[in-house]
Amino acid sequence: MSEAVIHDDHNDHHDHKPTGIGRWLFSTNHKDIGTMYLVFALIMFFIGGAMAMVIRAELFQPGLQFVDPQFFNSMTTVHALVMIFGAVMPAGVGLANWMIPMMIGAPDMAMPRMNNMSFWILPFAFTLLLSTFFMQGGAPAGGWTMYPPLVLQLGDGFPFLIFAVHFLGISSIMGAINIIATVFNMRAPGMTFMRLPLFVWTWIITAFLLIAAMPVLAGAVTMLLTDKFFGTAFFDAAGGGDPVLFQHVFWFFGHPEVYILVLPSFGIISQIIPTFARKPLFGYASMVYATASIAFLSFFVWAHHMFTVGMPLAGELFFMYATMAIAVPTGVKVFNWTATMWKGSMTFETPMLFSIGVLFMFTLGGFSGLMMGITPVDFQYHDTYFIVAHFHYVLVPGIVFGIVGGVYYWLPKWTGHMYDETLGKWHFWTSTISVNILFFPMHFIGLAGMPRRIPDYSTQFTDWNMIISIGGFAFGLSQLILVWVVIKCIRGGEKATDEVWEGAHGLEFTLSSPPPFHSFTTPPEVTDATAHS
Amino acid sequence: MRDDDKTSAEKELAAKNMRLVIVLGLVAVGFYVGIILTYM
Amino acid sequence: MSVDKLKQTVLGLIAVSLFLVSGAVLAEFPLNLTEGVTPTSHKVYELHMTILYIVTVIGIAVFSVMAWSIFHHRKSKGAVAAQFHHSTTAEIIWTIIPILILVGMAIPATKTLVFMEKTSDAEMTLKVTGYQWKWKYDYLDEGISFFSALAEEDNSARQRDSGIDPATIDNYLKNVDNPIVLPVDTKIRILTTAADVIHSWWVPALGWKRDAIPGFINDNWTYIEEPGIYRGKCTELCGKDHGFMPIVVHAVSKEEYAVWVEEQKAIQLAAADGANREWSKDELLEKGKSIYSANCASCHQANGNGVEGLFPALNGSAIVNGPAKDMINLILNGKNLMPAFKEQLNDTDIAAVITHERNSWDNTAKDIVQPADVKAAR
Repeated sequence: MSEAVIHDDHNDHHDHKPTGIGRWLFSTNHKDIGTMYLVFALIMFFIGGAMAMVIRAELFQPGLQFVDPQFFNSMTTVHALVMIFGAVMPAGVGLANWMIPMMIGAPDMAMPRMNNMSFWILPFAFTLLLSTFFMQGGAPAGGWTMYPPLVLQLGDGFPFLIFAVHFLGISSIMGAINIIATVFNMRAPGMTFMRLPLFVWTWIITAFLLIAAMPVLAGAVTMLLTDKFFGTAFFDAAGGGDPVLFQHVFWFFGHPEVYILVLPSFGIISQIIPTFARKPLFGYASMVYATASIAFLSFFVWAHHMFTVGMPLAGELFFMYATMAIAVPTGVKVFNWTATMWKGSMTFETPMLFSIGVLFMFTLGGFSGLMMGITPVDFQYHDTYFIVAHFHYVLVPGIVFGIVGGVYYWLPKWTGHMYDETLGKWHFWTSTISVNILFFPMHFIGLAGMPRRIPDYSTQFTDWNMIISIGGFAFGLSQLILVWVVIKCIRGGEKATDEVWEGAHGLEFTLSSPPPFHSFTTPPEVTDATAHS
Repeated sequence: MRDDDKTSAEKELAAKNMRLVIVLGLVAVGFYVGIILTYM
Repeated sequence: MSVDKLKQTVLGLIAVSLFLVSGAVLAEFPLNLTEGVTPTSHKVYELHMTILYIVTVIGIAVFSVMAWSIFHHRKSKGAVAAQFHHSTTAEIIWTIIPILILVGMAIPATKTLVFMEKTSDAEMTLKVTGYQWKWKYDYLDEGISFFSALAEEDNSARQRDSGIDPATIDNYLKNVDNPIVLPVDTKIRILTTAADVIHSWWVPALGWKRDAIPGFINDNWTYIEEPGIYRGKCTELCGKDHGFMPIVVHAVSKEEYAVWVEEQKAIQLAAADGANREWSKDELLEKGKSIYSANCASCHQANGNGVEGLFPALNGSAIVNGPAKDMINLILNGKNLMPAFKEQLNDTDIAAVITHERNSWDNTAKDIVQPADVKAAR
C-alpha cells in the first residue's frame, strides 16, 4: 500500500503554467501530455482515414481507376500501421495520462520527464514511417504484419519501417512503465487495488501486456533487419531459417496487441455505463478477473491468426480450444455491462450512446471472432473480407467508439464547458449508421470469396463494394463533426459543474472543471463509500 | 523543482518509482534480447 | 373490401415483389459461403452454418435483453435505479452456459479437422508452387508441368485506365491461360510450396486454403465429386500483383482426364523438340510478344518504359541494347527484385522474349537470339 505525498508547503511555486511553445515541448504535466497524445491521435486518425478513403475510392468499382497495385498495397499497409500505432494506441495512452492521476488521487504521473519523452518519440517515429512515401521503392507495401520474405523486397524504406517500429515500441513501453509506476506508487490513501476505477484496472493490465509484447515485436523486426543487411537467415529457408517463425513471433506480439487496443475501451465503457444507468457497475470483481484472464489467455492463442500455414493437428486443436476459451471471460464482461444497465435509470447522452454502440457492435465482432476461431471453417474465412469485417467491427465500433465515448464523457471535465449535445448525437448516429453500411456487407463478400488486400476484384462483388465505399465516405465525413464539437467545446459553452454528470462517481469528479494544473496536491481520503462508481 | 526542495517523503517516493521503472525496463530489455537469442 | 379490390391489391403486391426480385437479380449481392463440391467443403459448410445459427440465436437473446433494458429502464419513463451490484448465481450461470455451448461447438469442429488432416491414400499428387505472380503446377505422377497466369484478356482490362469495362469479361480476374485439369472421384494429394514469397492457394469449392511457403511443403487433399469449373485466388499478400494470380480447376471425368494427360505429354515433347532447332525471326517475335506480356509487362510495362524508381525501362536500356549474353544471364539468374526465370521459362521462351525486346520500341539491337544460345548459357 502506498500513499501520495503531502507537500502543501511549496505548493505555490509549481502551480504556474509555463507558456508558449515551451509549455508543450518541455511539458512534464500529465494533462498537457495527455492533450498532446489525444491531438496527435486525432491527426493520425485523419491521416490513416485519408488512406482508407483512397482504398475505398479504388474499390468503388472493378478495374484500376486511381492508383497502381503497389501504391494500393502501401495504402493498406500504412493505413493499418498509422491507425494501430498512431491513432488507437496514443489515444488510449492520452486518456490514461489525463485520467489515471485524477482517478487515483495523485498529483501527476510517477515519471513526468519520461512521460514527455515517450510522447515526443511518436512524431519522430511517424516522420520516419511516412517519409518512406518519397523514397526509392516506395512506402511499405507488404502488409502491416511485415511477413518475410515479402517485406524484405521493400526498397530504401525498409530500415525506416524497422526503426519506426522500434521507436513506437520504445514509446509504448515507456508509457506502460510510467502507468504501472503511477498506479503502484502514487495512489491516494485508502485507494486499494480493489477500489480502483475499472479504467485504471484495464490500463494496468494493458501496461503489463505492452511490456511483455512490444519487446517481442522489436525482436522480430530486428531479426528482419539483420536478415536483410547482415546476412543472417532467421527467416530464410535457403539459409536454414523459417519464414513461418516470423509469423509465430509476430503474432505472439500481435494477439496481446489486440487486447492492448481493446482493454482501455472496455475500461472506458465500464466508467460510462454506470454513470448514465445511475447504478453501480455490476460484478466489479468479476470484471477485474475477466480482464486479467483475457490478458493471460491472449498469450496462448496467437496461432489462430495463421491456421493456414500448415501446423500439426495437435497445434491446430490447441489453438482452437484456447481461442474458444477467450469467449468465456469476454462473455462475462458483456453480461456484466448488460446487468449494469438492467433496472437502471438510464439517460442517453452522447458518451452513453457510444458505449451502447460498443456493447452491441463489439459483441457482433466477437461472434465473427468465435466463428473464425473454429479451425476447419477458418480455412475458408482466412484472408478474406470476412476477416476484414471482423477486425474492423472490433476496432472501429468496438474500440474507436469507446475512445470517442470517453472523450465526450471527460471533455467537460477537461475544458470546463459542456459540449454541444445535439452535435454529439449527430456524430453518434451518423457514425453508427455509416459504420454498419461500411463494415457489415464485408461479411458477405468475404464469405462469397473476395480475398483481402486486393486492388481490383471480380465483378460479382461490384454492388456490395459500391455500398461499402459509400458507407466509408460517410463514416469519414461524420468524424469531422467530432472535430467541430471538440473545438466548439474548448472555445466555450455552458459551464460544466465539478460533477459534470448527474450519476458520476469517482475522484476525477471531485476536482473542479477544468481541474487544477496539478491534480491532487493534497491526496484525498478514499473510503468504500467514495470508491469506484 | 530542485532536489533540495524535496521533502524526505518525496525523495523516498522518487526512489521507489525509479526502482520500479528500472526493474520493468530491464524486464522489457530482457524479453527483447531473450527472443533474439532464442532463435540465434 | 370488395372481392375486386382484394384481387387488385393481391395483383399489385405480386407486381411489386416481382419488380423487387428482378432488381435483386440485376444487381448481384452474394451472401454466403459456397457449399462446394468435396466431402470436406460440405462438412465445412455445415459447420459454418451450425455455428452461424448458434451465434445468431445467442445474439438475438443478448441483444433483446439489452434492447428491453434500454427501452424500459430509462429515466424519462420514471425508472428508479436499483442498487444491486452483483449476484454470484447469475455470474456462475453465465460462465457455465457459454462453456457448455463452446464444448458443443468444439466436438463437430474437432471431428471435421481430423477428417481434413487425413492426407494418406491419395491416388495422385499435384504440386502447386507459388511464384510472383503466377502458379506452377507439377503433376508428379504424370510428369506434366506448366505455369498458369492471369488470362491475357483480363490482364489487359485490369491495367490502370485500360478503357476496357471489366463487366464485359466473364469471370473477370478469375481466368487463366492454362487451367489445371483434375479427375473427379479421385483422392488427390495437393502439395503447396513457393519459389519466392509466401502465397496461399485457395479454391473455395474445395473447402480449404493453404499457404504456399518457400522452403516448405504443405500437405493437403481433395476429392472432387462433380465435374465443373472451379475458380479461386491467391489469398496471401505476395506483392504488387497479388490480386492478379487466379486459379482455375477443370474437374473432368477420369476418361477425359486420361485424354488430357496424353495431350499434355505430347505438347511437352514438342516444346522440348523446339529447343533443338533454328527459329526464324518472325516465329521468335510472335512467341516473344506473348511471353513478354505474360511475364514481363506487369513490371516493365507494355510500352517497355518501366516504372520510375521501381522497375527499370527496357526501352533504350543499355543492357537490352548491349551484348545478348549479358541479357540471357540476367533473365536466367535474376537481379534484385527481378526473379530468376531459369525454372519458369524454357530456352525457346527466353530466346523469344529477348528477341522481342531487342527488336521493340526504340531499341537498336535488332539481332535475334536462338534457343541454343540460351541453352549454352545455362
